[in-house]
Amino acid sequence: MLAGLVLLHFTLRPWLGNPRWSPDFLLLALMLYAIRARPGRAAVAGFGVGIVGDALAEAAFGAGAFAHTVLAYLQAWGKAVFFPENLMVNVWFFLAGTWMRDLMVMLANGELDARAMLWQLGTWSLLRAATTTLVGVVVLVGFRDAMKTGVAL
Amino acid sequence: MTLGSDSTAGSRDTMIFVVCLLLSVVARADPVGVSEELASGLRRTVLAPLIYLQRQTQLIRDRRAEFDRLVVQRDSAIMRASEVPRVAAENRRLRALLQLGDRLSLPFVAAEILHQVEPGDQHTLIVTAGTRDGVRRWAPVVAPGGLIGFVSRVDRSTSIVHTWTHPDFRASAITADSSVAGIVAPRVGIGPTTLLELREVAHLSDLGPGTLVVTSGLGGVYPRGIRLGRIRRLEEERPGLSKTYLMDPAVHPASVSHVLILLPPVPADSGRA
Repeated sequence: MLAGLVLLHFTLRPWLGNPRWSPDFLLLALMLYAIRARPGRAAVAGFGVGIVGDALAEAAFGAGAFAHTVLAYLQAWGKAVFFPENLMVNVWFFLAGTWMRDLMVMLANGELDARAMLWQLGTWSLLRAATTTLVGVVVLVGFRDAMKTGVAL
Repeated sequence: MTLGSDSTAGSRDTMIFVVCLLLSVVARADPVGVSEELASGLRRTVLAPLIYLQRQTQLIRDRRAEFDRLVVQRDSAIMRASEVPRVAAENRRLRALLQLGDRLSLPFVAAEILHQVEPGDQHTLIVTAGTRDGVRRWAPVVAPGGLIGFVSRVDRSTSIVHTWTHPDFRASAITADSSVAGIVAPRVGIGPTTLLELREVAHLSDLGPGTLVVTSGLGGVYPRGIRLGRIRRLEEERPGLSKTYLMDPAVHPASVSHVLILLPPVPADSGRA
């Protein structure tokens, strides 16, 4: 399923309109994995996804790796506090995770202009978090049984 | 899993996290200036298939957008192409008008019909020629196919034409071989007038379907030889008196967009004056 999400990121996403608010399938795959994996593995996965994103983007190299590493590690620890099988917990993880990833990337990039940050985090990041969460819910509901056993991953 | 093993695993996770974090920071700081090469290497190797996929997807999307644009352009071209027959027909009419003009011995002025048949007034036309062009009342109005009618009112730049569909229209007529004469009038009945009648035809004459009928030149309004129509069939016979034939008109006013208005003949010596 994670491979499918990665494929969707490169095949379906270009069809979904503005990339600033279209769902981030790569990040969703990472969050779905991190919430069910050990923190160390989640951190490695986050680093990998971040490096991939950095290699594909014109932004500062390493900023994405930093943000995804931190996010994946924190989400992996999150399951010690919350129930990862709960749909609402996942929804909040997806929403907050997407938004926090953008915040950390901006900070790591040194984009500290207040107006730009407000616009990005207050509009585009929220929209992207919403669309990513929507896809995440569809995936969770569609693969509910397989996710419980870990087969889907 | 024991507490000790949990603690060990947790420490290992933390170590891995710290290593990943440090690598990220190093990549971000890029002290040796290799981040560009690293990113490029990733794009050329690990990410190459994914980038290829994305490029193909982008290509498909662009092609589809291009296809949609082409469909719109094609539809526009079809719309424009649908105008071509009308323009070609108009061109033919104008060319025929010019040829007709060459054949006519009378001076004339070409005019465009401003309004075709209007609701409530199906017997008149407005044409773009008036007194400033030399148009006079009663002037015959013709089209390449034949007679349209006559000018009933003239303004400075426009004229009102009474077509042959008008109930009062009459024209002295004769067959093209000059064998039979009569009076042409519209066949008035229920609905729009689309046919003519050749009335007051000599009882002994016999006209077959398709016989061409033209103006005879009598009466002083229409010059001789303008086509009026062709005989369709015998409509009425008054034994010992006359016959009435039904005629298909040579031209219907509704199908015409340009006409020629015939002007009075120029005196032969006017050029020497």
